[in-house]
Amino acid sequence: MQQTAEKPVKALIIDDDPLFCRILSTGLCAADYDVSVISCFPTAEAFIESKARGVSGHGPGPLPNFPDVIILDYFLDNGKTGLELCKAIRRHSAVPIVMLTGNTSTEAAIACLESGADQYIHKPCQVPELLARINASRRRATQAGPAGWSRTEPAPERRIERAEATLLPDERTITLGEMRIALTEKECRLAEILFLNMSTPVSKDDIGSHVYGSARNLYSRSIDVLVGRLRTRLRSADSKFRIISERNFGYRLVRKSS
Amino acid sequence: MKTDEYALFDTNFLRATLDIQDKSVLVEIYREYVDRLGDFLALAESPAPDAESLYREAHSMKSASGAIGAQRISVELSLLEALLKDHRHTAESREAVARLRQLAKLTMQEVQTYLGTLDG
Repeated sequence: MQQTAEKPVKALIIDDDPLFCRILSTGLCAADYDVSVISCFPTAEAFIESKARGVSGHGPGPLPNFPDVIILDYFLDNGKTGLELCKAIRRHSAVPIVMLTGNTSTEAAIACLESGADQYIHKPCQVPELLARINASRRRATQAGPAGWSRTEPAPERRIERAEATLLPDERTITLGEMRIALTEKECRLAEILFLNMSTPVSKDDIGSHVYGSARNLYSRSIDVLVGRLRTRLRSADSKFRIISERNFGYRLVRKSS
Repeated sequence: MKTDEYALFDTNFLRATLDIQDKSVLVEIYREYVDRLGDFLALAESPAPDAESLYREAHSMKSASGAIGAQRISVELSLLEALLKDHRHTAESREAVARLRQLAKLTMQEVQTYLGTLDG
């Protein structure tokens, strides 16, 4: 049974396999979840776009009918993948996402996490394990604040300000001028170490320790990908901040003077 | 990987997984599974199936089989999925389909027997 008993947790399953959806939704309903299912990629994409559009002008608090957790399949219909949806969701929201994948490779696991998933689980999976993963994701999200699409209340005890940028690690958002951007957990941790060391080169080992909890070279390529994503976010906000590559060392965050 | 190391059909698996008492829900899920497995085998044994569609269906059926407790079929399907990864239906993948047909026959018999106990 789910651990927060006040009201049912709203779970959204995005999976194109009707039988597997049925098994999952039956198991989640038995655990008192309020379950919705989207079974094709275009519908899921439209759902995310509609929720994203709803953010503008909306006040604090989660949008109505938005799920508390999303369970997202890796392989979807028409050759599309859940990775694309995961990235699209992360552009707007920090809602917990558990990805399901029938691919047991390390690459698939990394792809899920790098796309912004909080957890991944191999198919075929048992519902009790899925519930445990959901609970773990929700616990972390609850510690970081509400998981809606329009979180606006800052966490005053953790706030990093550099020029026009304000990073709120507990909320996983960065405000650049008037633009607020939701970050994934790992993007946020990367931004945190770079903003704390503004203008100073930070080694890949230090980034690895801060973001992944390990300085092993295993994460070198993942760090490059993560930096690329943060660069894109900074550019999308027309920001003056730039992440410079420090050859054979790591990265440095700078701010253009004009 | 030897498929006979795995259970042919674990009758407790789905019930324990779902934590539900409603037998009719279990019956519906099993019946849907049996239909899907039949459709899959019909596709796999057709003269010239589209290998890419077959690959995707093998992937889906692998998960569904594992989720209902048909572990041996799930493992065999994961082997077939690997053989079809390049979207080519070769002699090797056809042999895997033949093995699946045998496993499916045995599994469906066990499922039908179990459904009889649930209906009663």
